Amino acid sequence: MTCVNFELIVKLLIYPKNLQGYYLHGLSENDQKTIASFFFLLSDKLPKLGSICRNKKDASIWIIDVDSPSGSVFWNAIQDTQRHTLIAISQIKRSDAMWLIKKPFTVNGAGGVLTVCRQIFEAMPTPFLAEKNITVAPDNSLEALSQNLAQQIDSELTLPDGTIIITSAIDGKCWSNSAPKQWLKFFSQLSFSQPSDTEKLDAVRNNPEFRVYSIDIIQWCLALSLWQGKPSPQASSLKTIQLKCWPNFTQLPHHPQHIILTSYLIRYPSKIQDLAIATKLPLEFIQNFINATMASNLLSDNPAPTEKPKMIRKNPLRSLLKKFGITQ
Amino acid sequence: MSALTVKLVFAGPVGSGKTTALHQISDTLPVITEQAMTIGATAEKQTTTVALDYGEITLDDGTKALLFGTPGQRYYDYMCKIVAEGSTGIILLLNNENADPQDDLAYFTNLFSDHAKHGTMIIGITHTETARDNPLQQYNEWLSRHSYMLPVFAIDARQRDDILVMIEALSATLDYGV
Repeated sequence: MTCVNFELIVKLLIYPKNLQGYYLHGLSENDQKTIASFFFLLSDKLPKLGSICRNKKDASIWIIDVDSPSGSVFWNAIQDTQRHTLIAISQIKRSDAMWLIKKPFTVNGAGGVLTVCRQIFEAMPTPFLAEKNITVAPDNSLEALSQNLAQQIDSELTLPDGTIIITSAIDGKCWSNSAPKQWLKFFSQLSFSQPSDTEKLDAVRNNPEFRVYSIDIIQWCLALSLWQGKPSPQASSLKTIQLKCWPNFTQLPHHPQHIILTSYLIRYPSKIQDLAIATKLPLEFIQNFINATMASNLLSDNPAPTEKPKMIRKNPLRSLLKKFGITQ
Repeated sequence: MSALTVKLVFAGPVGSGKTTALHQISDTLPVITEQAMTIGATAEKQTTTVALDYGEITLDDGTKALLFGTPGQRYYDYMCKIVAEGSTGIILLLNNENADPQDDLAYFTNLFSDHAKHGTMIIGITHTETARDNPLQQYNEWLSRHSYMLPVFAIDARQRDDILVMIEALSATLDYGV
């Protein structure tokens, strides 16, 4: 159990400036006590974790027991809220809940409480635990890159396979010694990122080993990798998702399943949970894709309701793709 | 032809890269009907398809996927329609450097309107290297205005991987809602 505790603390320390209010609704007295224990246990070690609020207006995260009558009514009434993060507590999986803590809580001594702590923490959207401006830990290359891009600072990146990428925000371009389709494999393990200078930029411009690409490709890879299965801040309030056009997959690094997701989302506006069921892909994988499409401005502002998805029929092109070693 | 025979048709205006693209994936040396251009020849493009191009891919079960390239001149449209009949999908290639590529898009989505409406068409835009901003935006906007949900990619017809991505997208489109 020490391990669990350590894991929680490490996660929270990545975002050291957390100050959230939590509002509980519809919970039984026992469950309220359990949640309170979570805050009590961690509050001395993590003073900026936040606290439980009596008034819902003071809280940015609302935790609701949707199985209770008052929680159910409250849950339905607040579904359109964009300003608060909603976490459901329920005995069953809920397709309308982006974040879910499963009941019953099983608390057997201190170890049991820590298990619940973990359950609660993992149900929370990590990015929400941060303030709006993410504090960049010096050793987190992906976040450093994110901030550099946002501030239009040129960057030099090194991937574990030896790929070097130099970005120029002013040009909207980047230069690399390897093709973008190789980048995705190692992008989440970005080993080195630092601001670049004019001399380096000039050097790669004149180096025949480096080719020029759109900086949009870096944005795409970054958005796919940075949030590790949780919603990015821009994507956090999305409920129903629809793509307005296809990502340019001939240039953007992708997995074959990204094409499947696109094909579905371009036709059928979906909630992420429904999409996971329909495509049989993990939620985290889908969320990363949504983050990337959001960052690339590919999501529709007004998802239009359509008819239900048709059944998948026998697809003659599968045998052709198989011939080329592609499995979807 | 069996219901599950794969038949792909590369269509589009003159100089959009149809013959080149077909070459990238055909198992066999394609049968082509290239002739010297009498009008509109350039240093880069001196021949054009006058009947059709044909290539094959032998699949693992021994059956063949059939690949056809149509002529680009509009006066051969009757030929395009014949070739496209019963096809699994249309791979429409458009040259971004043509005088009015949006007009080409309108023309070919109308010519193959059944495929465009049913989503069995995919669009590859060639010659986008010198384009400023996002070269795909105008095409996506046009398609959206006309309620088409077709995939559009910037491609290099000489790159096999680009052609395969188009086939992957076409396959995924077949999976959902066609």
